[in-house]
Amino acid sequence: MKRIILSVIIFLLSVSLGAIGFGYHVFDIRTEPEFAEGIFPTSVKYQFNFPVPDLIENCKTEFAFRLDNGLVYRTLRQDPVTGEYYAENPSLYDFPHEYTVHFDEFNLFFAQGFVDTSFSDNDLITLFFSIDGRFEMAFERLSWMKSESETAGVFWDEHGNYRFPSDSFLPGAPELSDDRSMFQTSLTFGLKFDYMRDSVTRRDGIRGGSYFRYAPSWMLLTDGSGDFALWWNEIEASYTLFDEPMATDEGLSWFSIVLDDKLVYRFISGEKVPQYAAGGEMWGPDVPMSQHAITNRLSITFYGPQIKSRDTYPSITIFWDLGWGLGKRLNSVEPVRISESVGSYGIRCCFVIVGIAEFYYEIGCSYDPVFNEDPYVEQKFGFSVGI
Amino acid sequence: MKKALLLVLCIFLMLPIAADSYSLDAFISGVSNGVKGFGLGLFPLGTTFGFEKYIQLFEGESKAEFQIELAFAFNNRTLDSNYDYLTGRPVWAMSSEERRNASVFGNEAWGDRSLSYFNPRSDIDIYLDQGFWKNPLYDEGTLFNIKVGLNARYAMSLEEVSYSLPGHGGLSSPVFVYGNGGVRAPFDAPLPAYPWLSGSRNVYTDYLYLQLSLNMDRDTPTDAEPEEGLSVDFLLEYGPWWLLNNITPEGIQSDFVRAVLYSEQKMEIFSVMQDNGWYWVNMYVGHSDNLSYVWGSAIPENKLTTDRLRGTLQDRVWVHFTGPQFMAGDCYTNIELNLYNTLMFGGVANEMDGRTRAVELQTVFTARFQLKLFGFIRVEYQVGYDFIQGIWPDRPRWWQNSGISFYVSI
Repeated sequence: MKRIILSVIIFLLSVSLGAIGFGYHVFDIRTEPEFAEGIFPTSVKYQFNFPVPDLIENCKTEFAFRLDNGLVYRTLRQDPVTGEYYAENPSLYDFPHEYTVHFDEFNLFFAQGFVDTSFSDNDLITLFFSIDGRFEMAFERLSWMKSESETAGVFWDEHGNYRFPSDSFLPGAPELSDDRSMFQTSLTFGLKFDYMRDSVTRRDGIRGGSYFRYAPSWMLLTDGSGDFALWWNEIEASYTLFDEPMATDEGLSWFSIVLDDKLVYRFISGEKVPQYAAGGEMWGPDVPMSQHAITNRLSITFYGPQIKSRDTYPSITIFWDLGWGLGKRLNSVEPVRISESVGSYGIRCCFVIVGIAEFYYEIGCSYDPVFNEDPYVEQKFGFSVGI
Repeated sequence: MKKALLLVLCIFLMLPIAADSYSLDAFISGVSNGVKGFGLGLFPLGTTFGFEKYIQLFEGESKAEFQIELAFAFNNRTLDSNYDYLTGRPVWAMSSEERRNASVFGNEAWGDRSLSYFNPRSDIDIYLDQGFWKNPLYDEGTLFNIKVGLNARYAMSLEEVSYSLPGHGGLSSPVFVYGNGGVRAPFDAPLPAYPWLSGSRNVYTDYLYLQLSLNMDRDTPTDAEPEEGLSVDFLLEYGPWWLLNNITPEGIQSDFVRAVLYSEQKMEIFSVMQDNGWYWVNMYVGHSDNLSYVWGSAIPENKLTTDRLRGTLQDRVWVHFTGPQFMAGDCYTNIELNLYNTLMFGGVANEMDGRTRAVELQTVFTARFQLKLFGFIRVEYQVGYDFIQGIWPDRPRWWQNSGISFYVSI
């Protein structure tokens, strides 16, 4: 029945548009280290644009269908039964925490801009609304059972027994309950502002946004695995400290230095919060899943030279990340409140070719890891394709 | 080492493009259908997408197309139990006695092990396509095209996803390993007939290709318009073992050369236009022949033909109706009736001693109905009848399938 309803909705949405043709974008391509050493793609986010006219002159009106699908790795951070953080007692939880998630997410959204800024593709203020849905299925990591040393998984121990009950609700990881799949629909409202002059190797200005996602368990087509409300706020400021333009090629730069700061505050309430909604990303440690999460990245990037095109260049970024998890512990059986800070710093070197291929090397130190984990240094080297 | 070589090759292929400034345009050419049991069967399990750019290589000629196409898909496959995995000899070529003793997946010793496995895979295809002179029937096309490219594929063969889900056996009935992670027979030894299942079961294969095309036809980007004219293609694929392929202690996974010659003729029968330039209805008939042959000691999974015979000659005759176009130019229906006659011949790919030879004829009729909406939704229903199935003594039969998919026609 759900399949029929969803098919009818997609069909009616399509037919009612009366559009003439579509544009499309590819936004993000992801890889996973255990799949072809991160060379081949495992997931992609893309968008089909409906050709609607601008409702306000010189301001952008956007109506689009966005899909994000593929396979990603995820780390289990809380005990599925109790909701306790593994990082509080790392020695007690001596088993792999990474698992695979096969997911599909769609967003049908409408956005309207207000006040044109001549220096940016984005309007000064943009309001938007979207209908969203996400399906997920979780299973063991790809290397599981590939050899005698890979028999211990997240869900199965090395003796072939369940680590967690498979026939009851798991409050600490609602999306992993029962058959380890979930389907959650939601509504999102947002407001963005953009006053940033951004030309790849030079940025000056400020931009940000505030988004509210409502995903109650009674939403249409939802299987009841999720029940949450998310309020997400971010602000980003940039300033070009130095720029040496090329004399011969207008718009290209020999060398530039840009200072950036990005602050994110996220608030979640709800009884069943799936991990994909948690947010709070930073280098190294993860901000614990709590009602309030704050992250900040202060970075300075050295760009250049741009080699014959705007989007082929090397860069070196020095960053300092800070994060805080505050308030009620999410998905917890016991009412626990936390106040935990995390911190890391590092360097990222990369070489971008025509804006889609990137070779990178990152090294960072988690000097203030989450809870009782020991400080550690981590490095990554790779090749990625993305926009 | 292979990773480094691939990166270097990618850089060399991309550097001429970088020298020509600005970014590539992105496209999405296909999103796979959902399958039962995954997201109500509606959500896609894979996507094909990429980036393209047009570059002026030769003055006075049309721009060359540079394209990077990426694809991934994650779904289950079934182990083929029609070939002896040690010798590659097909079951249909064996005597009764040989069949009883054959080393095939799913035999008596197999027990209750499943034949189904999880097969995540991904492809990267990079090519440059240069056209010369103007196509006499289609102003936007070229008469002659040369296309050179590199195709790389990575695929894993893993235990079925449901194997790690609750209530599906856990560690009790895996296909490839024992409950303690040790590799089960026969996957602990070389499998010459199935090189992609040997060793670590992680496949990494590459091949280069060259395609020459002669286009004297009207072949528009969408199939809403009637097509007519003649086209001929020649394709050569070269995938030697030393070309960035995964070489395991159990042997090589790929070593082949494949050639394809294709010709197509189409003729418009009638068309009725609407006032706005769209079609009420149009019809054309077509005929094509496709001759292909694959040589080599290790043919990768994606280059094997049905029944593994190295040669294929396929004749196709079809009638195509389109119309009406409605609401928007890219909303229309079409019906296509096809008759395929396929002759397969030659030796059996991946057979060690190469002694089996066969000729097989397959005749299939198909009727396909499509509803296309707004250039990105396709609803399809297809019905077919298999008249003759060559080697396999099945009776003639009807079959049908249907689906809904998201796509973008370029």
